[in-house]
Amino acid sequence: MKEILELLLKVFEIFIVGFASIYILFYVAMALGSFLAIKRYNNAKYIIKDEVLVKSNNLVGVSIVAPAFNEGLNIIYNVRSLLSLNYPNFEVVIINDGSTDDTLEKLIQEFELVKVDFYYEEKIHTHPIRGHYKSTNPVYSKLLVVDKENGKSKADASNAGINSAKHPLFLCTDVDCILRSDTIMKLAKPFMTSKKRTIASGAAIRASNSCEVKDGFLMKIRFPQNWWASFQELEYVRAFLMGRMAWSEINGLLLVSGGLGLFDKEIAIKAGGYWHKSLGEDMELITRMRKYMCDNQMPFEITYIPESLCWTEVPATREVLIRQRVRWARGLIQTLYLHRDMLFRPKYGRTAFLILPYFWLYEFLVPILEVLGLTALILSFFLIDVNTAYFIKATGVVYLFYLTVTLLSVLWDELFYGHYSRKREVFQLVWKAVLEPIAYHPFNVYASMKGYYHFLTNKEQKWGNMQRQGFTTAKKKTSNETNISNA
Amino acid sequence: MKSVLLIEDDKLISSLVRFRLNKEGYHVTTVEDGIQGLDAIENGHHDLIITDVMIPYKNGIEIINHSKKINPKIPVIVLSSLGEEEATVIKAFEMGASDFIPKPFNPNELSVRVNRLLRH
Amino acid sequence: MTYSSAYILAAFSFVDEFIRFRDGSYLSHALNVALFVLLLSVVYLVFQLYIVRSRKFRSGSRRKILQNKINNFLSELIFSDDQSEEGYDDQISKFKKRVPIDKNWCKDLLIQNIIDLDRNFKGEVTSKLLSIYFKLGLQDYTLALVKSPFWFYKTKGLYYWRELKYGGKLSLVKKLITSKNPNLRSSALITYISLAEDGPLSVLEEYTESISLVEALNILEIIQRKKIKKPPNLASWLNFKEPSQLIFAVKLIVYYNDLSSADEVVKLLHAENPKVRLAAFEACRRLFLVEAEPILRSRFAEESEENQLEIIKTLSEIGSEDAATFLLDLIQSPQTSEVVIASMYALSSLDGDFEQRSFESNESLKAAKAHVLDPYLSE
Repeated sequence: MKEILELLLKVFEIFIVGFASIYILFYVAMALGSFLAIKRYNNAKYIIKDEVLVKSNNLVGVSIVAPAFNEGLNIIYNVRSLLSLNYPNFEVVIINDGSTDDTLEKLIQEFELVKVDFYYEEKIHTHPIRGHYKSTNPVYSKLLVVDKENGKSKADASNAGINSAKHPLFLCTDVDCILRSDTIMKLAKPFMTSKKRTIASGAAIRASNSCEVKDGFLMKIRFPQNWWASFQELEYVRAFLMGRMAWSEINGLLLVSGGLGLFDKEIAIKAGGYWHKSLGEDMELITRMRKYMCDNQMPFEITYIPESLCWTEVPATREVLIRQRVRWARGLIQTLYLHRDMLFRPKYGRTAFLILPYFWLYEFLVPILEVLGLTALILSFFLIDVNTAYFIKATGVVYLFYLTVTLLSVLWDELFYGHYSRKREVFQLVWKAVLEPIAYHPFNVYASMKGYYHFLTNKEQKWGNMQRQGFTTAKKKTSNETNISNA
Repeated sequence: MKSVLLIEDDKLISSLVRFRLNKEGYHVTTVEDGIQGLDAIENGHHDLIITDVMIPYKNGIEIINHSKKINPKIPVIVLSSLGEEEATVIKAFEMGASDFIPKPFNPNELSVRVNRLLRH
Repeated sequence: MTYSSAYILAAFSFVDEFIRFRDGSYLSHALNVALFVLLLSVVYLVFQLYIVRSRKFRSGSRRKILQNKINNFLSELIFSDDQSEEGYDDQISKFKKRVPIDKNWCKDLLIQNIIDLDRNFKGEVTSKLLSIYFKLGLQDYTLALVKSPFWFYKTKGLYYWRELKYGGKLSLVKKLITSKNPNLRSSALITYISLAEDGPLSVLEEYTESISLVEALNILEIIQRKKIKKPPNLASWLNFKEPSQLIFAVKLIVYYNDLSSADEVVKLLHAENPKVRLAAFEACRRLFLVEAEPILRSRFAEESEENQLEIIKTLSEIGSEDAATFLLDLIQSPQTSEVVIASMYALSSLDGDFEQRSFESNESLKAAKAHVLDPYLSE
């Protein structure tokens, strides 16, 4: 019995050694790639100034698509904030997703809306539309409100917005996201400079939990003081600066976050729009758009902008956080499973041979291996002699490796951007990095396992009813659509 | 002394305009963004408002809208940095702007226009 | 899902594979070294973070102080009652003593302020700016930037010259247009066009690279602002082979309203590249080339939706009764909502009987008509 166990452990180890070495090498390569890409991006700031472009009336038009469900609390400020973005040619499409509160009434009253005879074509199928509203006041001529029946998903609402959008590009966001005023310009630029067809672009997201917000505008950026939110801020900094930028360099982005992404409307519609049953609709859409482009042999690009353009409220309690991560994990496996036929098919190029294998092997498998590893470790302690001193040293090495990578991203964030005004906040970030593997990461692993389990047992999806915590209230927030991961 | 409220996010511009208008004998209050601008309109007394179209958090049109609600008699001069977007000019006048000055502008011309509005 | 995943994984592998099953002494040493190196790097990073942070904080407050000094200096200089040359020099040399003029960040801030003034003001104010720039000794700094071996500094220097409208070293700029670095090339091209006095656009004849939409918009903005004259051989530019250059040539023809090239533009309606055709469709509208109408109609069915929409837009402005008939016919068959709405808008301006048309049997077209007639929905 003992021999069999030892043999099993041995096989597992050999696999793990190879696996972990590739993983670590991968991160080193990604970090280097990211650094160079960010540097180049920042160096290019004197070539063409946005101020000149922003005055042009010939820029590609952008429709902002933002679904709202029971957002009565903050909807007015949020919409004003979106309307005040700086871009010469854009509209704001708010989708009232069958709210049961006074969201629509508030919009109608504040922005002097009337029902209009909107010619609507359901290019992507959604729950029924009740009507379209426009303002009678010329100040708000950029606003379009779509009223629809609740479809129990953000995807369904977004699709209704995409169907109603009039411009060739659409920017997908949440109404409670606070966008920097030059967001559209920054995201749209790749669409106008790239030689290949750009089909999507995204940028970094940060936590707005402790930021000073007035009337829907960000007055001062603050590090989240909430325990759970603070770790997420750290995750965001690292994921966006280290991971995404490197993927963007090799045109390998599979995830443009649902909190902020600009898409080519034609391609998104042809790919079928957001899938309303998906739990990770943002990643799923990009996968499908990639597939569409490859199927039709059209060269394309998906670009990532290394700047923080969007601030959103992240889950502030353990329950909400775990619920969110369970959903992400489930969304991940669902998307990978759904598109499993793309794996290693030559026509899908790097999506088939690099991106999807990476997602399968690392994004998907790692939580499982962590659990297995821990189990094996505990078994070893009980059944086989383990040299404790070596074990502690080895753990220390890996821990410090992780810490180095994380601190490097914190340093870059400070070097390139430096959002926080107080020194203390930067060192809070460092402190959270020290704590993360012990105090935060296990919850993530737990949530991932739970998500996979739900996927396998096909548990009923239940997340249509989302509540939002207002910036002024302390109500519990139960959903957040902003997807990050290390991709 | 007549009082002018200047809403402009570029500190250098507001500093120059203030200097120029001080020379004409006006008291100039400067604020940098739309939210401060609305506060100043609500809580202070001003004989004239000069606002840029593109200011943080709000746009000049909203400033006019708000100022007209509080006191329709206070004249508003709009500075534009939007290039030649006619729609904005039309909107500004529809909202009740007294004057519209496209950037780049001559500060001496601005002071002449201020004088005309405040000393009829 | 995070980096820390590596932690448990690798921890386990280290422990078992290397230590338990093999002789541990050699690996123990490697482990110690790794531990030491990583510990050092963590300490170094935290220290570095502290340095970066403090430096940023100090430079932030220094900049604020300097900005205030600059504001006062420039206001007084420009609006002072003493406008004599001596008074000027006196004020400038006094100012130089009060600021760290030998530091690059100070020079950058000064130049940025001068640019800012130039962009926002006109009249007597701006005529003085270039002389302030020289008197502050900033010219040497920008020249050094352009001559720097790094493209980043070069583009910064070029940007300064472009914005300051300083065309003294144009030959240097022109050389950079042939650079291999796309960023530098683009920057040099735009700088050259905005600074050169005679026939700046002729440089495009030798330019071999593609011109992106952003570059094209920039150049057009410069042409408009500087009121650059039409290049004498513009018509021959329609023979450019590179599609993006050809598209730009078409845009220029439109800008200069060059009707003598009308025939050539009409020929481009059959160009192979769909983007070139798109530009040609738009050009027919802007130049009001009514003779293009039959071609536009005959091409319609073969075009992508983007191009179809452009054709409809053009027909709505240059179209005859035939165009109205064509569009009425078109919307009888199934089309995307974009095409239907665009056609309806076109019909509302082309078709004299539009208001009376009821599109009886077709609910969809009725709805589209209502959309077009709604006062709050605009095209």
